[in-house]
Amino acid sequence: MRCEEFPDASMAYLDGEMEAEARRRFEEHLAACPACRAELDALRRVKEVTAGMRLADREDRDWELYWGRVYNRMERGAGWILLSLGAIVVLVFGAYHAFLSIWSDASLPAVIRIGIGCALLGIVILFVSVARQRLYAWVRDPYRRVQR
Amino acid sequence: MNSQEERQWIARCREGDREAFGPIVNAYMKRAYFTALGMLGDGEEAYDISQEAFVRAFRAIRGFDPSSDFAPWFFRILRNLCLTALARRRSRGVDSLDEMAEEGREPDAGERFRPDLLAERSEAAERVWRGLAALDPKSREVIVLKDLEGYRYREIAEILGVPIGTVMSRLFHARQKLKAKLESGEGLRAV
Repeated sequence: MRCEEFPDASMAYLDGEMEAEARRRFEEHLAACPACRAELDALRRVKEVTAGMRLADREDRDWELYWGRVYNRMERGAGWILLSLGAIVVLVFGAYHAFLSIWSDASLPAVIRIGIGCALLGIVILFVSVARQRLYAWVRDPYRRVQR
Repeated sequence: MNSQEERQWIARCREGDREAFGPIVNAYMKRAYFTALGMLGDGEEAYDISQEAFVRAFRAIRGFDPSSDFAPWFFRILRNLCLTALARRRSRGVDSLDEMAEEGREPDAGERFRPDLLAERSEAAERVWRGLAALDPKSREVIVLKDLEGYRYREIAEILGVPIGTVMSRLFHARQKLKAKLESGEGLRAV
């Protein structure tokens, strides 16, 4: 074994994931190489302190409530999706018909109809602007390729 | 729960049975929480994100290959949510752990990676905890998965979606960085 192989080999050795024959060759190298031996000792101490560290548990009540909270989220998530979809369909349908009825109402002054048209155009511009900003942020997101 | 039972529960989940997901959640909730806690250093956020990971997993369960292990698939979802949360901290203008690590600064212990999140408080443990906090997320996650959660290399490779050789390489560099953090403090010998 050569010193260049030390990084991967030292990890497999410390973590007990090395085959017997590779282990024998690694130990032979360690016996002949003080630098790798010293580095391995230092890395072993790091592993010992991290593996020995324990994080505090939460209160029992948090675990008793855990599944119920997950269930509520699952249930409400489906509810919110359906509600949002339904609301969008109804709003778009209502807005379209409201616009048509106002636009075709000859009794309304032209300035009102133009004002409503401008307001609707403004909403469309704002929507496109926000969508573009979100798209820009998504493209620059370093974790966008992460699978969820 | 043995793997046979787990497969049966998952098969029911794939048919849309929400109740069948309960035993799966109960089996993995603590590991999910502690993994997220190691990544995020914030108990409430870890509790919240671990729950969200289960919700996402259930929604995506039909895309899960039932012949493979559930744990690596689920922990990949959790890991990705943790990375997203860390990225969100950055986008909110809060100093991210990456930035602090790049600039050689320690995280604000008053906000995250607090010593009271340790089961046994000691000067050595607190120093290691702070050292972990100061690592970049990719280095921290591999140490959390290996040393705190005890996964095998094969499992870590599946969770991270990388070859085993990359796991070993990342682990080596992560431990070296942590060693440097500890040595730049009061010295590893004192730990």
